[in-house]
Amino acid sequence: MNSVIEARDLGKRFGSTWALHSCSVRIPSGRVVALIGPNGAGKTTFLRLSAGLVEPTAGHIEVLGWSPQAQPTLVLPRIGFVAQERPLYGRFKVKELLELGRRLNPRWDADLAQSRMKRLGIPLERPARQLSGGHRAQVALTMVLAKRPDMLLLDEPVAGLDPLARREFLQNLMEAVADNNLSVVLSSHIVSELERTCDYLIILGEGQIQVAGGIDDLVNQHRVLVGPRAGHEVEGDPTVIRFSHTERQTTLLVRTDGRGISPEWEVHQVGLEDIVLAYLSRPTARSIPRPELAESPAGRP
Amino acid sequence: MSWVTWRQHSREAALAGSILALIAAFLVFEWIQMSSASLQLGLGSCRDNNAGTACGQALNSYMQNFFGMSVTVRYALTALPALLGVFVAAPLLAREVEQGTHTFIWTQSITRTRWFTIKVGLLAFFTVVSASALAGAVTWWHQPLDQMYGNGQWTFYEVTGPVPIAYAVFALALGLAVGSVILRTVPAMAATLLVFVVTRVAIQSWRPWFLAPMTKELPLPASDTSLRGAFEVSTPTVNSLHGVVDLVVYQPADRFWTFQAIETGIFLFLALLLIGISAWSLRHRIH
Repeated sequence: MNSVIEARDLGKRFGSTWALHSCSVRIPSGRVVALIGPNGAGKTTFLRLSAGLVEPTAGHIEVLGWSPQAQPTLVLPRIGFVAQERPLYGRFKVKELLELGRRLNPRWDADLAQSRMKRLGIPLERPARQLSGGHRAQVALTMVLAKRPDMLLLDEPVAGLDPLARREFLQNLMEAVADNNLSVVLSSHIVSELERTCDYLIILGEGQIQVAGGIDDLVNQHRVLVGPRAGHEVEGDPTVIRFSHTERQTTLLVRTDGRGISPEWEVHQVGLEDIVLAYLSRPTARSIPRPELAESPAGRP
Repeated sequence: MSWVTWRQHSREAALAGSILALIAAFLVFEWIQMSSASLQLGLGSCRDNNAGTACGQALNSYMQNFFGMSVTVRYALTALPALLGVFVAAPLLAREVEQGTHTFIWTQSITRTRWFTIKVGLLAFFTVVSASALAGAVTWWHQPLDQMYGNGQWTFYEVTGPVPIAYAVFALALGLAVGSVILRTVPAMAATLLVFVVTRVAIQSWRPWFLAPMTKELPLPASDTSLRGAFEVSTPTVNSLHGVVDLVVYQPADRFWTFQAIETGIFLFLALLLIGISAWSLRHRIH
């Protein structure tokens, strides 16, 4: 399987607002994908469309080769979805949640669920509503891992966790991903921890995909150019993501492979965080309007 | 899935079970009271119940003892379907969405349609079983009361036969539909109650006209027993060729089951429409 999610001109409108529109992307399998964007950018909508919770208003989406809306019986057993609030039935004890998982999922791995609970020290007799935030997140993660899915869809999985719980959660997630060869799509608005966790990035702004690609590729494909004060024509250039002028010089963050740049510009490498921030600060900047650009080049890990 | 449904709603089930058990116990208790009173007063051997006779006085004291209670029982029983709609059906979808747990349960390996079908199927099954049991119990219970009502069966029209079962099924479907449209628990409960009461009152007002009523002139003072068991729609006093008479507009006793069938049909039809609405919402509205 080449791609885990394939969206073509995908759009979702709530009332008169397009939460997501003209969204085309092909997410390769075996990646840990970060979906980045400010609140309201459409991250949750994208994940819910992928899980089949939402119907598209326009376009198509395929998850693991099937339509999550039309073929839920094929998609649901193979994905693990956790919403941002990590909803669980508060009155259910942990062991009852696991029993629920066993009864509703054909591929349920009871040993995995039990041993994770034991390892994390989460009491099976405790009702879900009495769990700490960190434990609750871990129970929710366990519920989806024990489904033995091919892909995880996690909406803001570490939001609201304290730094320690956050690190433990991500570490835990990465172990599970490595052990089971999972694809993961997780949304976040925190940039700092992503570089260690993720290897693929999709930036959403105002309901549209601004950029999508492998993190290494993205870092290779962006440069900061510093040169003499340029005219306003650079601001209209679609490859320019961010610009700033001082009296005598102009600094640009440009999508480029570094070739064909006129020698008057001084070319600098740029880190992931700066690239992400540049896109976030200009939600209308787009580098990847077409799905073929979102494909990863061959030979990636 | 039935295990999940049971685990999730065991509290409501226990509560509903206790309410039903209490009602059953109360009915048995009152039945014993009524039967022994009837025996004591010798009502069984009465032929002439006119006021002034010994039998009339006995019946009068019997009625004083039990009339109010029987009215209370009838009202209490007609409120039960509303409770079901408001407290069980309306929150079924609304609460899941309000707490976001629908995203949890609908991303297990079970489609939301299947989830809904099993859950509502189980609920409908228990509703029909309990409503039938209750309607049966009431039929048995009101026998001792029949003597004091001229139109015994019509008096208990709303709590015997298939009609109360249809009310319960309707209330269930209504709660589900309203909950699936409003998606917030408390407003959905309030709206369910309102729509239920309005619908019941509307159909109740229409009931006398399900079939064209019959009329009969009765000379005053009326002492005719030919209308025994009929459902009196109205009894205006009018001047006719035979002098001042009661013009009785009525539905005859033998239409009882026809009326039961008509009203059952109406409420089941409405229930079906409402289930359609919830199924549509489930598929297209909830996300």
